[in-house]
Amino acid sequence: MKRFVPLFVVVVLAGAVAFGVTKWVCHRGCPDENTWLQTEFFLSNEQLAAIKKIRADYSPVCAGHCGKLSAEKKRLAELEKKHGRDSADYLAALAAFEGLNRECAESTRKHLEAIAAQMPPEQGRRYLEMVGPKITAANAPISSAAK
Amino acid sequence: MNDDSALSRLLKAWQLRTPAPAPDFSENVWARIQRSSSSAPSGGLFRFPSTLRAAACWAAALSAFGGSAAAFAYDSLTRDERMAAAHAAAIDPIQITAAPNTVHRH
Repeated sequence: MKRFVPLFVVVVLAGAVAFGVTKWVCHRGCPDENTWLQTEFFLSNEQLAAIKKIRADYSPVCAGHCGKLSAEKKRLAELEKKHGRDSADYLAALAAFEGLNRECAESTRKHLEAIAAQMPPEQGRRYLEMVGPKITAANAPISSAAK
Repeated sequence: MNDDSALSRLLKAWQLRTPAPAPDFSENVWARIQRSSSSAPSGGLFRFPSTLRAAACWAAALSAFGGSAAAFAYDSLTRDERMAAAHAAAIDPIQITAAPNTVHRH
């Protein structure tokens, strides 16, 4: 029975290595976002071009939101360090941060809807169902976002 | 001429002497054959007869094929979810700023 142990180990190793290598190869072969959107939602070249334009137009808006969020987070961390979590300044900054989060979430949701509007109706619905739950909801708990 | 008759006499007098076979020759041969077929080759990783060795190779090959197929199936099943999550993460400023190492793709 003992002589079957190395055989068992080699068989398991062969399976594990094959799994790992294939997964790595598949992962490297992932399409870029635009290719995925086009193939997954059966978009024509015109529809994809329209979506690319919407995304390009949204880029500065998203960059602005990211900048504001980063600044607010930094401010919150400094206020927490200086005055603690119960101070009026910190609570006011937290309220402002929550407002900013809601604004960003709402903006992202509208952006998704704008992308979905360029797709055939059924595909647009499917896109919103697939991607919608993965964006941060406007009413998501703020404590995790503030970290 | 004398030499020829001497040689002729010598050849006539010569008798074939066959050595007597060892009494346990046959048993010894069979015993050695038995030992060599049942003993393991020294230093080998697998001490299997050839049929088992072939079975081991088949088992390893099947395992590799199974692992590869499982990885391919897993990737196919989860690809849309992963792509959707990556797409959402690229356009959601809250996720972008929450992940410290996220590359800002604007």
